[in-house]
Amino acid sequence: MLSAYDDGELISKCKQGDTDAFGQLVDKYQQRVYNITFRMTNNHEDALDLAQESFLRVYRALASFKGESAFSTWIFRIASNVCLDKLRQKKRQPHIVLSMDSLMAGEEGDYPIEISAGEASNPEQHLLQGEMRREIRQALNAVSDEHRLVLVLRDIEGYSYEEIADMVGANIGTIKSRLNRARLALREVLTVREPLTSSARLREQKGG
Amino acid sequence: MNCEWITEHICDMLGGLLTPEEHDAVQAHLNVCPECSFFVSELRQDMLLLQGLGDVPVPVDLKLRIAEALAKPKPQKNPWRFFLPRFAPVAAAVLISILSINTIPGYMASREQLTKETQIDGAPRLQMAAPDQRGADPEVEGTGNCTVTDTINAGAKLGAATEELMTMSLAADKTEPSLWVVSSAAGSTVLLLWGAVVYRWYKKV
Repeated sequence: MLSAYDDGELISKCKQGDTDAFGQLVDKYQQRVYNITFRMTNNHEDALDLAQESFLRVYRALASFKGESAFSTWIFRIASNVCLDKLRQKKRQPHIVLSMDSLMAGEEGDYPIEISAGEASNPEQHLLQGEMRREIRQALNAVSDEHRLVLVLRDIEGYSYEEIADMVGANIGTIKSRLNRARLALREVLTVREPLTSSARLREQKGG
Repeated sequence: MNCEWITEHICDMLGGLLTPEEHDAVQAHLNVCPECSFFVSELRQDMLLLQGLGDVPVPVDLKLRIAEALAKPKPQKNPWRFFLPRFAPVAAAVLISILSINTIPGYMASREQLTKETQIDGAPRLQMAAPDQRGADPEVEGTGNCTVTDTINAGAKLGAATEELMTMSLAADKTEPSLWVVSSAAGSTVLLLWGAVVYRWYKKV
């Protein structure tokens, strides 16, 4: 079966024009690519466009992929660059005032929310967790694009410093220092919202 | 070990990348510094919250959209798309330069001609002034009492005016290189403007 092929074989097939093989690669990486595009943009519409654009760029550039880095690293590097390009482009455009609905929209969007057994055990606790998640998402959206990218790649997606350095095109020392500044920046944003976040945490700890 | 060190190395601390000695020193500092202790616990909470965000549901139509985009025939490449941004600025700069060289000297020449005419027109007025200087009737020309001396004096003044005009003309010739400066500046400006337009266009594409 085609899904049994590893990345190398799928890439070879893609280079020969096999779009089904590319479909297998999309299946394999779409979740992590979409995680990056959504965390970077904080809305489904842009995230979908950017994920699509990322995969199209991957497909067009497959011929130039020499395997010097892992395919996963390469694809996430492309997705990261697509996001940063889009965000820079957006900053140059006139500011668009979003409605409160779009600002407060959950990441689940129109999709059904799957609540894990632990989360569903206490409705109040679930509500508090939702509140804290929204806080952290909004804080994440308030830091700079470069800081957000390293936070997404390291703290949310859990990539190693080496992988992030490869994706971002910087050395490990730079990544560590950027991540350090990013965490401090995030903390600073959250400090402004401190009353809500702290009280929510306190209540959660008491509830838990 | 101090608070500043903690702030600078928070990344390594949270990532578990400290040496055992550093770890012990940090722990000792955190035990006596409630501010750092609170700060580190807050950052650790932030990290846990970020990690807890987890996967975002992928829209079901992502794969379909990619497949549709790949199935679309590639748009025909427009040759102008290659040539226009590369050669149009050069052509525009050359055109502007030629226009500048042709029009600016023409303008300067017409100014010079106007100056000459003004000066020549001025010559009889100088002649009019001549009798006045001799203490004679200033309305010499109007009355027709013009003497030979007046005519010679007027001729001498006309000659002097002509000589002055020639000097001015030579001076004007010396200023011609500035026209090249003007035209070059115009050409460079067009090149720069076009560069900005092409850059924005490429970024958009």
